[in-house]
Amino acid sequence: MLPFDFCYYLPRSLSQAGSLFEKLQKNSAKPVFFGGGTELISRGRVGNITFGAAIDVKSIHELRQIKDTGKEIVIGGAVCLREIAESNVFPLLGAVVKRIADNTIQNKITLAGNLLGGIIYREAMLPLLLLDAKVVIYEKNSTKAVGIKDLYLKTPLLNEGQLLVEIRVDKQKTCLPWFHNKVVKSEKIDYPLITLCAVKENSCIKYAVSGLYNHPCIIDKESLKNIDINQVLDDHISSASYRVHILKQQIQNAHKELFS
Amino acid sequence: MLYVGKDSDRIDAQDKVKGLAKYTDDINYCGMLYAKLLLSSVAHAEIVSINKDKALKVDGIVSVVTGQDNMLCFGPCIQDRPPIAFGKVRYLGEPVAMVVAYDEQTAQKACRLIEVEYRELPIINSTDDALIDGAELIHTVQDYDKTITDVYPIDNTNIASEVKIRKGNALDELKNCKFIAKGEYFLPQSDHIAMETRSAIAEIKGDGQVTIISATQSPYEVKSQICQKFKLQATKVNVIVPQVGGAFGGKSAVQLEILAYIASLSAGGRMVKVTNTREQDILCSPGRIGLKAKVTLGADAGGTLKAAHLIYHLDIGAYADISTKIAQAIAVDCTGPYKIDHVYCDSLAIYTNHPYTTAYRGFGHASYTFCIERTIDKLANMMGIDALEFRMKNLISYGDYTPTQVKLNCNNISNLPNCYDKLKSLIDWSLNNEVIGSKTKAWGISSFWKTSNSPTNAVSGALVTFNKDGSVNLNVGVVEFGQGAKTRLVKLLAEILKINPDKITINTEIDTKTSPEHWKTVASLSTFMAGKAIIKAGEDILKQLRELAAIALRCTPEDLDIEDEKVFVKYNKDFFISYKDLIHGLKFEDGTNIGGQILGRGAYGMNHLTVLAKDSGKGKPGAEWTCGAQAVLIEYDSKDHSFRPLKVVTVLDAGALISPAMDRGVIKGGMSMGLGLAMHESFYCQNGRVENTSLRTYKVRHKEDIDIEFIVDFANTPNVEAPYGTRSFSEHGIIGIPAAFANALSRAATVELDTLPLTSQTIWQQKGEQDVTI
Amino acid sequence: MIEYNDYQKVYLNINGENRSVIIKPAQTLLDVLRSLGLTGAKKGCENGDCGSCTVLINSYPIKSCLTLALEAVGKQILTIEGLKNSPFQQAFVSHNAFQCGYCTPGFLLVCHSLSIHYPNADDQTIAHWLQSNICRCTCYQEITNAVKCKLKDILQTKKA
Repeated sequence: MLPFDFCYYLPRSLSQAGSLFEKLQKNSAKPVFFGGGTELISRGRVGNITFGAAIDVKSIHELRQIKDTGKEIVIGGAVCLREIAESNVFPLLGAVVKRIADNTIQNKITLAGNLLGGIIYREAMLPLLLLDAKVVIYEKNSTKAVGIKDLYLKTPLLNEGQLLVEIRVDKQKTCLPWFHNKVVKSEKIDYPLITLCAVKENSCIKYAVSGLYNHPCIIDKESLKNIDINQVLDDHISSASYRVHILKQQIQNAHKELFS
Repeated sequence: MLYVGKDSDRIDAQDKVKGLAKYTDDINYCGMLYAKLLLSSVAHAEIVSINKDKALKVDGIVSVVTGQDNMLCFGPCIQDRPPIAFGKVRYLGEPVAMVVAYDEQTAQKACRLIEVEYRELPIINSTDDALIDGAELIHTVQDYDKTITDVYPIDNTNIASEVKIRKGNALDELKNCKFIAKGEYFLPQSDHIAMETRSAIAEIKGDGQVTIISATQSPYEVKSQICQKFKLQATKVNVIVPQVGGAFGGKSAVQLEILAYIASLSAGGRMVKVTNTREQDILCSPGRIGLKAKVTLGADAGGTLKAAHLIYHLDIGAYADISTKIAQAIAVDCTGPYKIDHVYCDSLAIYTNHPYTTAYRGFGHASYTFCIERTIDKLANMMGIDALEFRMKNLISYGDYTPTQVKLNCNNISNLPNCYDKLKSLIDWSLNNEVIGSKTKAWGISSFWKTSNSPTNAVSGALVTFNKDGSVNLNVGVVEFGQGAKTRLVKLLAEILKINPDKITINTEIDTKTSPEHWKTVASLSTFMAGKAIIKAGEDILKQLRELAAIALRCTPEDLDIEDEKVFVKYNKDFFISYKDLIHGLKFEDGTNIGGQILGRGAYGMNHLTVLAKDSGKGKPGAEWTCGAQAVLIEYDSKDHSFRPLKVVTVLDAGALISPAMDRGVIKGGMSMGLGLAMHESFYCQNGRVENTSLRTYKVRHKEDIDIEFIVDFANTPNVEAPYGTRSFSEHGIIGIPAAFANALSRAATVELDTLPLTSQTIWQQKGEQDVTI
Repeated sequence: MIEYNDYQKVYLNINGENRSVIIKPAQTLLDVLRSLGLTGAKKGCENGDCGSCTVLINSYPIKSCLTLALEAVGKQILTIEGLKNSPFQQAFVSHNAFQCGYCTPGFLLVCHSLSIHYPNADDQTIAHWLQSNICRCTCYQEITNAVKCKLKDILQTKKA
């Protein structure tokens, strides 16, 4: 049982969810949007987070869709990682999510949960950064699309009351040659030491990495030369210098694979 | 043999696969209260004040207990540990308060409202720090009572016990050695991570009868400590043990049981349950020792080991628990199973401000074996002798003396040369250092041995009764925590009574009120000790059966034999009487009766064991040494320093196996834990704070993508003193694996890997942190 | 809109039965199942890391320690107690695929779900699924053998 009590709501539409959040926030009821809930529950249990109301978004139809519109691939924020992988609509994202946590938890963690939660790695962000994804956000009865690149370094990514409805990527780009490798310290089921994703478009490779800093980032030759070692993660998983070494190695591997 | 040596389903199989097996936290009673612990947030500090006011105001709180309420200290060796800290906290994670409430959520809420003020003290963060002259003292050891006599704290230091081995004249002999190899090793503390976290329930009835239900390996030790310290008559305390979900030594320590009792006391005797969260199980409850070691081995020109100088510093954490005995256990077997006539060993149990420690599978053996076996490889390398041949040349054998000067014979040590012969046939030693492209495959080897280090007067017992239909009830004090003890013990009774094991029901639950005492279910000794008791109980029954049957069959008891639940005349099998007609007395046709129910009893006590001499370590610490040889095949990739184990091999001389498939499973489980120690497991401790206290960050082995091949084989040298020739083996699978792994990887990567866990980063650092050019 | 703010009666479909329970939002599915006496789902870490709490929800494995009980309303929950005569249970017994038994219910439910969704599972898929659960007693070899053996049997039975 969580060590604090809260209310639970199950809205059926975006507008219901949005207005409920507004109302609860006005009454200082500390509402949160509840997707997979794995982080809210695990952090709540150890006293790292509290909330007064959980608004379960999994019954909101727009958040549960996986669509191929012909031009775009659309994945709802409350789609779970397993569903993303099984749909095969976005192979690189599928490969990434299959290495997040474990198979069973992938039945619970949602796309939005991985992108917006407190855990710093946000590996699902990497393919979205590489493909210049758009994030559709619902707030106060209207939706807007924002480029993920304009969002990903904000802390928090979304403001209170904003709900991640879906991500959209150019369908053609999902077919570009891609690379993914997650390097861990030793045990396979673990946070990344370095997760590298890369996409090749017109003989040009773009890289995105999790595990280098306390946020995912896009990397290129320039930024690789200018890595500030003091910003690089240094912990029980890996020293900062080893992380940089592994990153360079993975970039080398990606380059080799994508040009072979 | 009818049953011993044959495979069968585990007796607890159906309950376990149907989810019906009940463990301590599954047990709930109406009206039961719940206790939650507040843990210290600092590693070493005086407790200035504890303010319970806000906590006490929460609705649904029954009591809030602090250390001041019960200023007793416990410990199976040195009584240094308060169940709840008073005056001082000595490790981050130590309980400083306990809340009892009607439900868990309320208890947790109230816990967070307790305010503790600390005045921090310097933190002793390593055994080196602990030994510095003038270092902050974690305890004043001289003030404590001792529970046992053979514990040797050094006053005004952080040394909880110093165990010495002085056999021959090692320091002088080393000067004469042609070849000397030295190594310094560091193994961090780690944890048991049994899948079931520790849990205990306590209740005190109106007449003072205390019942404790606990996931413990040591119900009689729980009873003994609580009776002794709270001055209760032994008949007033019983301890009940339901199914236990893994233990590995961690549940042999007495901790939550005392807390549950104190909680019940504070709640007027009402039943209270206290269960660890995983984080508490890792941090607050005791884990595995860390070890820092300096090993020097010397050999002569012919490649014969002559002398060993061994310094073992155990990081036992903040309280001694059984770790002073671990220091002894390490000293007792300190050289590994090699013939070394001159041994100088100092094994020190040293206090630090780390979580405290207790018994862990192998009881220190996996730790020192790493240090010895790495040095053996270094020495062999230095001499240009093959590592396998060097070991085989120097194995200890019959007629040789152990570090504590016990003379070995074919009963008290199993046959290690046979194990090596078998190992050689199982591994492609000639393929060692096979290189294909950037990948190298390499084998690493380790020997191992272990004796039990039990108390010299450890006991076990067995009680057997019959039901009217001829089925049998067996009652022992051995706890089942997955090792299969109950299944084996049933087979032993079945064998001696010549009754089908399906007709024997053993107590799956221990109740100290009715189950005869078994020392503790540790040290891989249950089959040996309880087995001996069961055989005595069986013989007791057979004697009674024969005596009564002799009356019915009108002959002497010596004329009779048993088979198929019948007692029959040896020279005329048609003349018999069934067990069923004897077990509740013998009734004649006219209705007259002779005799009552047949009750079987058997008791066993360890014998001929001695306390070790303080100055030399001379003495007999155990009845026998089980040995084996292990090997790990790894594949290392020099491109990125990645590596993985391919094969893990154990050849063990465990004498006769009672339940071969199950026994293999237990050994493989130990090997799996050994891989965990080698590759993944350690506390990551920064300035007294363990950073990785969840399974998210403390990594244990999961199934790998590509299966590792586990190979187990046996030599079989019966120990004639043991039931059907068996030897201890349950723990042993773990012992040599980290060493063999490190030997393999050191060879493949051409670096010296002298610390655990083994990581690619360490190899990269040792190779000079070569950069990658993009 | 569905709203719960304190203890309230709901129906949970557990092992084919509609059970009425009185629960509040802060309770996890693991808490509620165990309070009903269905103690086969275990507390191993309450953090989603060990798999001892695994149950099936609409035939997929879920860690019940990281699921609110209210999230399971309207879904089909299968616990180990509801797994009647699964061939995996006997396979685990005959392959010695458990020792202390604490992780066993979780593993069995994962196997059951695997056989539903990937009856032709290759080694990689089997590994991927079994990696969600920790066993501290065995070396995973027996569990893997039990699973592979049974999947093969199930396939052969279907073909026949």
